Amino acid sequence: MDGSTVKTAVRLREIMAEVLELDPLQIDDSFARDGVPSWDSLGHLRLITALEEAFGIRFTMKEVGELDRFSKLHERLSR
Amino acid sequence: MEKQRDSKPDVRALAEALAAAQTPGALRAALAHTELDKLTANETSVLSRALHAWGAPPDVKIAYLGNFTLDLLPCAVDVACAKEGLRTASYVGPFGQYVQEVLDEGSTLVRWQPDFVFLALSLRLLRPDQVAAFSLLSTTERRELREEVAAHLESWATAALDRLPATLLLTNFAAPTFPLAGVADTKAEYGETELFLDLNLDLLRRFKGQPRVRLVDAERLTARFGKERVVDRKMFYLARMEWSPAFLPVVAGELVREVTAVKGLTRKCLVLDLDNTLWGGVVGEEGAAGVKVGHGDPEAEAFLDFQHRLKALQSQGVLLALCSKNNLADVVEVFETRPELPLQLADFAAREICWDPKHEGLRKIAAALNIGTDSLVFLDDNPAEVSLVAQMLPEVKAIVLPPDPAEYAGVLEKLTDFERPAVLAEDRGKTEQYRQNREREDFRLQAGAGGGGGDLGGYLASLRTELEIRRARRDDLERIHQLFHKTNQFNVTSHRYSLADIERCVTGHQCELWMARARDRFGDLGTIAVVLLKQDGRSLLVDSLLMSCRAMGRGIETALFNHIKTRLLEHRGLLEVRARYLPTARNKPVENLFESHGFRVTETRSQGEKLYALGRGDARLESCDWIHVLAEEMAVPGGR
Repeated sequence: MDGSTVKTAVRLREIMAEVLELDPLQIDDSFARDGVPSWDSLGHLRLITALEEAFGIRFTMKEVGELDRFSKLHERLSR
Repeated sequence: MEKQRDSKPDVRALAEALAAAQTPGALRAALAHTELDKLTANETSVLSRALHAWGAPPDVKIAYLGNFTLDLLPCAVDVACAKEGLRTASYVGPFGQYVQEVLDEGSTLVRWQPDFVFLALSLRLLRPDQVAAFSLLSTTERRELREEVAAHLESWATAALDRLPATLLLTNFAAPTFPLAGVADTKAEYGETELFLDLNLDLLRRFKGQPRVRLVDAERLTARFGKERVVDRKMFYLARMEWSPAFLPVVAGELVREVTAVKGLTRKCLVLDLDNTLWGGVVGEEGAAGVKVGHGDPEAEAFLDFQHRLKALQSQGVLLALCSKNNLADVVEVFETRPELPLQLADFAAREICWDPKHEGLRKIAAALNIGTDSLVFLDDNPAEVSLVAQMLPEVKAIVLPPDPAEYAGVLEKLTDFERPAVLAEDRGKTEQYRQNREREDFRLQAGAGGGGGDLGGYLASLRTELEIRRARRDDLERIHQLFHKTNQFNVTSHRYSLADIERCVTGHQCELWMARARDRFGDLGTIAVVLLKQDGRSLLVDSLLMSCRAMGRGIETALFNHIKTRLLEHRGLLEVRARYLPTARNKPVENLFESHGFRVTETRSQGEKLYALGRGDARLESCDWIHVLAEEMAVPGGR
């Protein structure tokens, strides 16, 4: 990982922890939506909105449906 | 931290301040400089969470119902309400179940007993087939669609009013940004443009007469924000979110106005500076002819417009006052030589034109108008004056006008402090009533100085007060609600009843709701007092007894007490009248009211609360021959 993707990961972890009301330490590289109560459909929308606001990007509808784990979000945001 | 200082508020520090805030003043102070539309949705939810950190009891409970996703709205409303010092509790109904929620007696909504129920419906989700095929519908079908939707809302509102004591906030329908028929739509037989105008007009007229249903104008709010930005299409398809997160602060801002108005948190008086506030330039330098206000010059036009808007505020019942460092003669000259100006000296209910510090002027103005300094808003172009007032009288809302008079009108538009649920006859005549009060005061001083009629009894008799006491009716509800919420000084229990509570008092059998109207030689004082009596076994309970401050000091209370005693004596089944005094920061004037009308203290509780009783055998009517109590109804000026 180069410096910018590390920075992205830190930022992403921070936002996910804040929106989903979790300890950032819980959000490791394998962290996924399955079984996280606060990452329900509303939590997902809030997360998507927060990431779009923070990174100044727009996800497509298809992406919103697919981005269900930390690694995928990180990969998409590092592009 | 460094990088946040330039543009963004430090949300974390703000969240900490909100979590630590114990009082309404602390909430207001923490958010005083935060513009809610500058916050992201995530920041708003962080602040909302901080507001609920220590489970402080809410001032207002709001339920959100609709047929599209409204889950992000409560956070925005929480923060917007906190900016006005109010704590909220929210309930978002299950998606789309707004009908079931009000029809089912045991629903979470009905059990939760909200103060407000907000309902927002999307037309394309309500009638998807008709909206999708709108261009194929016949004119008749289009008209039927309008009728059907309006009737649906009305029957929902009827059911909700029946089940809940809440005030309903009903959103109307925003017309699409681009009609399907394009520019030809306005030439169509009942096109989209006409449908939406007609539907919204229909809704407005259906609910205008029902004080507990308030229309939230989505058409206006979406236009204010920019219609194209209201819908985030992706979010609509993904999550049935008809309103984008960025639009929510606008909706929240409007809801705060509704809450402020309905809860009677309206401030009473707008105090204005003169130079560079009501006109351009300094009258002491430029002279009466030199100050800018009027036609023919852009700055003068802006001041003229500002004066027109202030005049409009005044006509809705806001008192205007002047607090200016000037020579009185210069100021009088401006008004005397410019009779064409919308605001004249007589429009100001109180004036402090001298060289004293302004916080002293504001105190004197509040005293002269018999209102608290927390009822004042103060506008001045000079930041130093405003900052001194803010420091000396933090309860006053003190606002610095922007450097360019072009922006003055916008300052008034942003103010939520003067919102009221409806403008009543009593509001319209407000300044006139205060003018009459000044005449009464002059008259009283003269009577005192004149020697001959210098006694209080003689003065009261010479006022020739007439009083009508009668049972309250349905069409009195709004004024009585206003009195319950606005009366601070002459108010023995300060219960702040909702419209629905008062409605029940009018229709129920256990309560007697009385109201009093007064007039005297100087004019009409309108409805000035409310007495709420409840029968409790063989006792008559004085639940509420309150009187507008403008009617105080003329012995009207004696007539009210005679009325209460008469109710006891007339009703053979009753043994006594019981009453209670609940002290507040403001109701010292009625601390010994019951004692002085023959009541006996039966119990003294902590913090000065007192219980009273008056037995049947001790109830004696007192002489109050200075008041003429009318047997028949007075005519109501202004037609209400």
